[in-house]
Amino acid sequence: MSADAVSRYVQLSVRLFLLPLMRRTLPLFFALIFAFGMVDHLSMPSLLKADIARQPWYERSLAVVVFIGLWSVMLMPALRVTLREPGVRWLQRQPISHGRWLFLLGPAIVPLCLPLVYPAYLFALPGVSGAESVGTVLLALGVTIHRFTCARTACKLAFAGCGIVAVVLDQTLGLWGLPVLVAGLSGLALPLRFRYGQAEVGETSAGGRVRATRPSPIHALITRDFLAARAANRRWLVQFLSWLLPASALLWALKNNGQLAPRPLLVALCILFAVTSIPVMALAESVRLHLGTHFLQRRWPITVLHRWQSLLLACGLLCGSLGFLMLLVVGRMPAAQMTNAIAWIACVAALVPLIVTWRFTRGYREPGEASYLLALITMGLLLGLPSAVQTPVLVCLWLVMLWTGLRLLYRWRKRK
Amino acid sequence: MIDIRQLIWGFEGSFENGPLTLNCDVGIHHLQGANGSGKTTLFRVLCNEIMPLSGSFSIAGHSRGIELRKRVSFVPASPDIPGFLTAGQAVAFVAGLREARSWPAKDLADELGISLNQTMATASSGQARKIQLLSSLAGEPPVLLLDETFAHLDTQSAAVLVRWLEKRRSSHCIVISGHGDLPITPDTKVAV
Repeated sequence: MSADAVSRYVQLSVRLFLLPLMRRTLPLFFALIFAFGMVDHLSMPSLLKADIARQPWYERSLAVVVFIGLWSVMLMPALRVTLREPGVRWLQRQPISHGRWLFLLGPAIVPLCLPLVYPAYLFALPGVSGAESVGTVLLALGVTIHRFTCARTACKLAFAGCGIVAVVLDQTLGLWGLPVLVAGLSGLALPLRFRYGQAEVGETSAGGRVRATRPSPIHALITRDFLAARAANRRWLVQFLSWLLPASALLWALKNNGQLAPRPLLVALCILFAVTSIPVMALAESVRLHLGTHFLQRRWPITVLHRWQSLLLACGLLCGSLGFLMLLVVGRMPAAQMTNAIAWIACVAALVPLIVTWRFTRGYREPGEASYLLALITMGLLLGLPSAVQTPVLVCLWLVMLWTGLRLLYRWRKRK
Repeated sequence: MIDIRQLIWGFEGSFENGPLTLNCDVGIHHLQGANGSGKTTLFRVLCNEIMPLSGSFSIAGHSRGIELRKRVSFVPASPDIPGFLTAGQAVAFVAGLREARSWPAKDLADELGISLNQTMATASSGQARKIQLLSSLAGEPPVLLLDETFAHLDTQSAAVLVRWLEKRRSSHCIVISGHGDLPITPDTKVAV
């Protein structure tokens, strides 16, 4: 390549990938760092406190996986929007070789690698062996690369396998060995993701049988929503399982090998359930985008309340099933912790329809996963507060939520 | 059944139509007007999609809300059913929203020449319009607003629809918009 061509490629790369991705992801990255920093600063009885260097490797790895997982999910909407920009679409139609795509995407890797800062910080603390540091940084890199290649489900299943290996053999190798191997192999597929873009929402269409009519608007909405979910993403059940299995395996490992007390186990359960519930939100958002104006039309004999109720039932069903399976993995817990865990699952299940319906009534077109994750992080922060502060803060929060909920319900009822 | 009093409709700052005073009982009514005269917008006002600029109207004694929308079905000129739904699923969905226990869609679908297993994504534009028509009629609410429906139907399907509407002339209030003459004899004609 001549110097002129290199200069043109660099300019294209910076303008089409680096700057848009940085602009869209940096605020989220700082929000995430701030949230994790707050957890650190408050010295809460969580898995992420400042003396984490003295904690077992399970807990450090959990912190890293949660951080990287949240970050990669937050990054997806930004990536989707960037890939749909006219400039990128134009570039995808050009006859560019695989090698040149690798060159073109060089600077775009920077935002993808931002989260490496966190494991680097965690494992730079004294008392950590070199093998653990290298292993976890490679794990973080593997997760980041996999999130953006075509083999996301395979990656998650590989993590599930590693989790199970970690439980059975109690080895660090089980946690990071296989993901890093798979990440290395699929790293070369990264340019393909940019080169050919992602499947657009609404590209697939599904046939189906005629279903019996039940005289209920809620039933009609739920049935139609599940049809839309199947059309938007035929493998949604596999994706749910691919999140549930690693989370359950990690939870099991924490319980059996980590010998966690009930309180940290509750925190681990809540965090892992929150991460596992992310596909529910993604599915609800993809249904909303897939349906477009058919999500809710004003001429139909229903209100926003019906819409919210039907989503609540569907999300309750999905989150409830996931939560029940995770509670089964945890097994016996003291009554107070069990109540907290069930309340957490219920809150997460209610949060999804609330955000989706609220964003629909406000006319937002972009997916609301970032709002959902920020809400989860806020809930996580509250969970980690010291007991003395927790009760008044929770009472205030419940009052605010009650007031907001009543206001929304009043507005939706009025808008009939 | 439809009682309109001094109704002005349209979009503020863009265009306004009216005032219109009208009383439609059961039967077939032809709403005639040129392009851009506000026929579709009037239908959208009557089915509560948008608010009128001034004046009032009521349908079977209801001026707005769910009770009104349960009694009205609007058949838009352009289909808006998502591509993944089959004709049968679209009918079942609308019938479910209207809390209709059962609705014999199969006979009408056969007569119109569409299969209930056909998806919107694979239907031609004419078939998509027929699926839209079929699903909008599900549950058979007492007031039907048909927006230029005959303009997009072939002769055979138009004859089927005429027969179907004729059977409901004495029980339903049917308003059909269009530019020219209709293949069915209306009881009244209204110009907008």
